[in-house]
Amino acid sequence: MPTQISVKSHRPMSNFRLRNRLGNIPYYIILAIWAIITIVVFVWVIESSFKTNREVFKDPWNLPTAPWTSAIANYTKAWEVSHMQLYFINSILVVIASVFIVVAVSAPAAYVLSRIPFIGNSAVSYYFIAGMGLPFQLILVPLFVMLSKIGLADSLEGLILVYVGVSIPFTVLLLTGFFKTLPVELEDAASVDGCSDFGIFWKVMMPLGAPGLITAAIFNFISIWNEYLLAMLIINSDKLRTLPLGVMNIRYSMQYTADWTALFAAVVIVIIPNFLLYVFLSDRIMSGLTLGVGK
Amino acid sequence: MVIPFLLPAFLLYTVFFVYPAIQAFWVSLHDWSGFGQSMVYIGMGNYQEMMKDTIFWSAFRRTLYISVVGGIGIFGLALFFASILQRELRGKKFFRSLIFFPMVVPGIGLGLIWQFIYNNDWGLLSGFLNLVGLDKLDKFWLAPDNIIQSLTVAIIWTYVGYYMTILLAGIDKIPITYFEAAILDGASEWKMFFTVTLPMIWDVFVVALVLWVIGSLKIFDLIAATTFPAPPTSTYTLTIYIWSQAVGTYTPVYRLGYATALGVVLLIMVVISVGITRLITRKEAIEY
Repeated sequence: MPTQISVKSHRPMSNFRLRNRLGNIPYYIILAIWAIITIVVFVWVIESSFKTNREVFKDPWNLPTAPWTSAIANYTKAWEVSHMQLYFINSILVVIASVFIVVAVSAPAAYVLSRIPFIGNSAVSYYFIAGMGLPFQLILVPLFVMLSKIGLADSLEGLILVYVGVSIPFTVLLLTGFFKTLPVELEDAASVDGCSDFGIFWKVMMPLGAPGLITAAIFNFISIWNEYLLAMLIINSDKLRTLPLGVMNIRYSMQYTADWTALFAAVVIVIIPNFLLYVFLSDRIMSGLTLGVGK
Repeated sequence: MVIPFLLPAFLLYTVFFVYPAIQAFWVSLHDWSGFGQSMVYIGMGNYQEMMKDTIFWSAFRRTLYISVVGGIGIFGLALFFASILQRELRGKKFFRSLIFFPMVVPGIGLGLIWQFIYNNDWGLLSGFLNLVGLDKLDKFWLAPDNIIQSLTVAIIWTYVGYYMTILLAGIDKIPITYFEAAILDGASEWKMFFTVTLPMIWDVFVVALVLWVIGSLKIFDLIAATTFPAPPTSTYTLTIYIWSQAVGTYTPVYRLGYATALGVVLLIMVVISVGITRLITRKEAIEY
């Protein structure tokens, strides 16, 4: 019987493939148009950062005449004169600290929520998930008042703590979902062997859960690296600005200088880390951003 | 072990997110004209003012416009791309990654890029129209009359990859035998898409739609950067309006109580929209 079924389904399948190959051309055209638009947009932004202002103002299609000279001028202006260098370091510090803390506190919470059926488990789970619906706009004023009171307004520490707080809901949800997919046998074996609860968590769950933790870290890295609203609320001093704030600050001064090419360079600097991360980890990023959504 | 494992996350989340959110309801009942000033209790005063506030209503309409029109564009395209990329195409992974890419770029960067694209003097869009001889179609893309359409296009381009990827993840889980059976029955690819694929991923589709509804009402960075430095009040969305009232887009207004009341309304909009979305998409789940 099984062979019969496979024979039956084999032929139509290969017809299907053949029909597909011929019928694919219109779809390729549509995909190609979308792809070309996307590529042209980013290439144009990069290309413009290799131009002089005069060339940018002329029209978008001419090529830079002295790309390297212009690029050096533009990137130096953005990186040094406009302090992108400093903002970059601030962003790195904030992102690394926030991601580390949020994963470190969310992993044990998610472990407990996914494994231990204590009373109130689902209530606590819902409590965490509820945060995903809360708009940041709601908390702006009370948050700023609170941070001012405890002396953390306009400080990277304050920003980090806030990023941790607002990133916990998604991270807990993601890790709870991930831990649930892991087999319980190893934990059972470890507990039979006399391993403590903490021991099981550290020695069994963490190594097994590493892919989930990495996905959570990457997701938080990107969203915190990109975050603008809360940073703008909390950070006021120039020397504490993160990259998105810094870029907007350059855009702000552009009104007076009309130096667009340095802004193009600044935009490229902001995009490059994400681009590099994406080139190497696009599958993980895509699955991370969409995890917990499917079945 | 439950308590020590839960406590750090619970505390940080409660103190830095939930507590300010709860406080917001109290702040929204006050008139408060600056962080240095004291709050004056005015009950529902802010909400009453909102009912008569024309900027609020226009911001409200624009926010819904982005959510509905943008949503139709995004889900139309996402379904279309997903149905294409579900096939055995060469370069499938490349197209998928490329369409998704804008999602990982900072909203600020994207907004500035769209500002460049929409620049009438040297922007990409006007430049393209001139190049192909369609200069008649050129307009002031970021003028008050056109801004919301221009923003919606930018938003669709940015988010379509995310929802496409969610839908594709759902499609991947459909057992291949369902498609084989449909082919045996002689179903065309499009028919198969509507009779097999879409019903089978309905629950994933609904989750994606709910995520969009929540996300679309909260879009801020992209809009703020595209319209920077000072969008005219007639082009505000709710998030931009809240920002202008709280900390200022350009020059702060410092109407802290009012801004927070607007934030409460935004939350209520999120809750109601999610409820409505779930209601209209309700359907018996298909088990497989």
